[in-house]
Amino acid sequence: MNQGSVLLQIATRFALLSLLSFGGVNVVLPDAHRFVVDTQHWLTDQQFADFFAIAQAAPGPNFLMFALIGWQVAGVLGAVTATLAIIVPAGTLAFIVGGLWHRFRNAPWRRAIQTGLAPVTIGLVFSSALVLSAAADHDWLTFAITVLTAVVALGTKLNPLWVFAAAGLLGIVIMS
Amino acid sequence: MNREAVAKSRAAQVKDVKDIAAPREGVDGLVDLYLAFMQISLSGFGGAINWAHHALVQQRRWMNDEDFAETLSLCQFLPGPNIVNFAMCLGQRQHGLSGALAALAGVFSVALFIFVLLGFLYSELGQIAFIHGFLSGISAAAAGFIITIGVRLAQPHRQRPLSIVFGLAAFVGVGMLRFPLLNVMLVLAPLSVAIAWWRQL
Repeated sequence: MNQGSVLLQIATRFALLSLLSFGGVNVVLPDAHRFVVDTQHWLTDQQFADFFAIAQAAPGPNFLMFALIGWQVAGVLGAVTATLAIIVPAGTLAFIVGGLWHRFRNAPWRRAIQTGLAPVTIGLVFSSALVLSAAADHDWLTFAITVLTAVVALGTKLNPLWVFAAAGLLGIVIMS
Repeated sequence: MNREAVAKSRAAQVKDVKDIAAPREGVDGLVDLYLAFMQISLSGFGGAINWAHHALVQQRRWMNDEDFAETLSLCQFLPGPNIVNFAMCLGQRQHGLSGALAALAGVFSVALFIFVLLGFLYSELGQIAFIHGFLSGISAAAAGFIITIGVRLAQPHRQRPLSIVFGLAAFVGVGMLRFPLLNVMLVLAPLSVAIAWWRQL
């Protein structure tokens, strides 16, 4: 496959995901995983999980995980294409709707849309958790890290960077 | 959501934000927007919205708390990264299309550079044993954080059977059966919105 058609595939698929990401990019991870890992074989399971982890831990917005995927597939041009594909469709919609929304603040249809989409979004966030766990947890030790992180993050106000640091060190111990 | 809760509690603590500062005119205003959103995008861990309140309401006084909460709820409702939507809405309000583009450029320009650098480092060094181990540890932890986000989002819905039905349907469809997101959304979203509409009549 040549570079141009790869970029076109990244652009069209990620642009669709951009418009489907109600509640943020965390809800489209299962679809992104299916496309880049299962269908296109651009990334392995572990690379997908690694990119998500890097995007969470690095300074910068999480949606740039898609820039890492683009980088892996097609270099700098791929990173830029992927980023624009995630940003432009949703951003255009926000630009158009931003002005109208305030005016319809109390409109019943607006409240119905908001109320109706919320539970679907929650189901999609758990779907992403499942897909990421399947990609990242190869054995019971890494699975334990996932569960432990969720428990600690829910039960304490510990800075997430400490949790990541501890999990990373555990990962080194497990691997060696 | 966690971030929303944090933003709200911060908003509640700050009572003295009454006077809104007018944005600067012309190119100066665009540079201000670019820098403000670059600051937000690079600060803090996972999710820049936490820092948006600090930068936009407390530091620059471009919005008051009510404005901020209203804009945030719109940006969380619309598809796409919340911070991108926020940049488009506020940038447009201050300087029209060029303002929106300046704010958007602030969100991703420097961060994208950092991420390309990280991508390069990953492909060069990712296979070294201890880095590989470190990454597999934090990717397992990252999956745990998504569970946390889901649990926090689900808290207010515990007592609502319909929410649980639609949430479970989305989880089974996309997470377990791995149906395409578009198909699942086309079935569940109109149904769930229609029921929400019907119940509030």
